[in-house]
Amino acid sequence: MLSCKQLVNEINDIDNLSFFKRAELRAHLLMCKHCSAYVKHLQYMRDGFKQLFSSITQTDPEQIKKIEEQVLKKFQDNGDKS
Amino acid sequence: MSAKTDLHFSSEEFITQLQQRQSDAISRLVQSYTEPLFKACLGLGFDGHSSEELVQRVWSTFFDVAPNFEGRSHIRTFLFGILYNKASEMRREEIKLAKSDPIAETMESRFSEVGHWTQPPIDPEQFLHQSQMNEIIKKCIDFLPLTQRMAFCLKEIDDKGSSDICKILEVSNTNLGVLLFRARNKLRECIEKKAKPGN
Repeated sequence: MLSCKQLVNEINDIDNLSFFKRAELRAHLLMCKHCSAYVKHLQYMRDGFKQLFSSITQTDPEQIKKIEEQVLKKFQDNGDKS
Repeated sequence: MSAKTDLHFSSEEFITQLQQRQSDAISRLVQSYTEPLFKACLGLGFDGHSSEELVQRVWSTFFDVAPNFEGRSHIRTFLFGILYNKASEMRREEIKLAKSDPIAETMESRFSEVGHWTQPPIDPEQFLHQSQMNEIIKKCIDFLPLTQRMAFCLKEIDDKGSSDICKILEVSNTNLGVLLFRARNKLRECIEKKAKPGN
């Protein structure tokens, strides 16, 4: 029988696990409310980070354009020198 | 970023143009990747000004090495690799994966010898209320080392595969697993602490 600690270690790598291993993890989760809580926390965090990321990375197209222009100008200037 | 653009930038024709520093090719590249690079900087927690500075540094490093770029990894991966290095430089961060990370001990203390929870995770309803979620995550994510945070961000930016992420962060697949495991658990511990009643 899988221990809680093993579950926590293995669930991290869920995408690379075999079908049977995943079934074993799922069976443990059905019986264990602590590990279920842990897994839910991870889900909340994933969703939360997704939201946070999209909210802090709102950009203004004008600002991006300005940076692009500066970058290209620098490139041209250096090219002229060499 | 469309798959078609990515494909174009990995063509031999394009790489030759790049090595010759053709300004047309450079413009297209800059216009395609400045925004994703800038977003990554913001996602890493740099403010608008520093993010702009960082993006400038990434491009200027890129232009220096462009004549030698052989296209062994995709140009996007290459650019994000530079970004990662420049960001580390900027933050002067020393925490490396190899060094011990206190989260390893915390995780040990959470379980008994037979691997049962000794300090079980709290009730998920208490863990995060939708309304306070962003705020708490924002605070807690600032405690993560840059590498760990970068891994999270790269997962958000057009869903990079893990082999790309490994190349960018210069870690093996196994180390990426360890890194993500630590990052998730550190974040979880931090959120739990802040979410517990009385805090």
